[in-house]
Amino acid sequence: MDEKELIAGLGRGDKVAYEALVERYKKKVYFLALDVVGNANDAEDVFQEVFLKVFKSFSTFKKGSGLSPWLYRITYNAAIDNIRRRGSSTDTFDNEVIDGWSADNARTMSDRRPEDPARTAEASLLQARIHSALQMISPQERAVFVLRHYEGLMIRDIAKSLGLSVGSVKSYLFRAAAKLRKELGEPALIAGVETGHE
Amino acid sequence: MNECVRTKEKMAEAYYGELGPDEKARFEAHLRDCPRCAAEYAETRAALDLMDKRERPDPGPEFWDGCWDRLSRRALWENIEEDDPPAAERSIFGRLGRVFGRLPSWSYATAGAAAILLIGILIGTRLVPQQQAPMMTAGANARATAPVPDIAAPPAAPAVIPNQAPVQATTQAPVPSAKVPARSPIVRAGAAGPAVAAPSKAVLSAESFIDRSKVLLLGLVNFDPGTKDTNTLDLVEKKAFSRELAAQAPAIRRALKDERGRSRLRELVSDLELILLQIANLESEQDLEGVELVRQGVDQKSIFMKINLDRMGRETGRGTSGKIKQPVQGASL
Repeated sequence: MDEKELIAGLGRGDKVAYEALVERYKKKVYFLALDVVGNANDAEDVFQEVFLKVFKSFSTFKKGSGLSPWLYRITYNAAIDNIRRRGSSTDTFDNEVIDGWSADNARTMSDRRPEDPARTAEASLLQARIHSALQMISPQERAVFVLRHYEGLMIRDIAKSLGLSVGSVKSYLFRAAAKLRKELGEPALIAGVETGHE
Repeated sequence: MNECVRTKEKMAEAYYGELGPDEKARFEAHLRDCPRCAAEYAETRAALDLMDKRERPDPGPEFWDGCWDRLSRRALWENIEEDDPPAAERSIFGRLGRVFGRLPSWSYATAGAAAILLIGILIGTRLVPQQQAPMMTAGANARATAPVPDIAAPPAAPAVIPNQAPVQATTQAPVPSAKVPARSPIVRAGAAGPAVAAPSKAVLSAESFIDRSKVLLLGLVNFDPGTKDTNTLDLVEKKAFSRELAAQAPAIRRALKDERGRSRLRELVSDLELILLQIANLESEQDLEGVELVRQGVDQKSIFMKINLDRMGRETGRGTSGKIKQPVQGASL
């Protein structure tokens, strides 16, 4: 089912189309929510709110615009609302994420290189540092950074998706990069990076 | 200095290749002239490159596979909790609430296969642990079967099985599987068979929930509108009871999440919750079409088969009387 057929199906209230939408966008929505709210429980809450909102109000979707930017905007707004309801942006950016990484991903890495526990520990430490650095940037900056860095969206597309001005997106991205540089700028960590991209 | 500030503000854009040709030329020219800005840009690049190494924790296949079911449940919940939802929303939730009623025909075959698999798993979980016990490490084996102080014999008198060494501490060597009997080589003093842990509060709550749900569902699915008066169905009461039961399900599921080896029980609670929500969400006191959809959902999800399997599991684990087997203190082997 291509996007055009998907949109048509959603417009008709077709259950198959709703399932296809969830299947196609579940990871994008969940991971953006997780990156903004910072913990798995709230991320799942946001995830469900997003798709329920889509089910309820698909009529507000503007035909001609893409599903992806629309979903990103709903996710972003739901995640920011979730943080506002909690009353804090960093208090609940808990260690669940990095704990989860330590328990599962480290085990996976260990499976890959069972002979080298030191490297596994090093990788775990690196993930902890990266997680910690991400906590230092605001949810808005985090959303912009994640969409640019991990999802590969252009600045103008991020602005369109999140309903922000291009200037605001540039500003958030600049601040996010500056804070990450400050947090991760220790020579020992930087030395571990071999490649970069322009 | 102003050029330095401007350059710093453009570093992220430069890194992601989002500068126009003129801006890029100006940015690069400044870096050639200003070692401090050049060094800062190198650090920014390194930090952002480091972010490529980030690994986001994946919630796992159980999370992804159950997305649609959880969304359906939440949609139904929100529909119930809304006092007077708009008609358009009601129709959408109605559609979601009839998820089961629209399952394709292949789901019957899948349900059958799942049932066979479940029976296999049940049999396997009852038989295999006893045969596999010798494969466990000695430490793990000893720990897994270590006597519970209040029901086991005193440590000074270890249990002895003919032709077997007495139970030792966690340093006991593994025994080659070919030379050991099917029973675990480590036996509790006085135990007539493998010890079964008492079910936790979460499991007991789940079992009570399942039993009450079963009674409710039997009343509903056995109703025959062709031969019985619809008033005898008493849908108002059934809807209220379903709602009450469904309200308990999230807490039971959460409690079971912390229990190892209870995923099938949790799944059954989830399935029942969805069915109960469907009943609670029936549109009128005479909604026979809705009752039929519930019945189809119960059939297609093999709810009664799962309930019966759960019951069999309970009885196998606790003895046919349904009571928990407890080792008899002081009994001889």
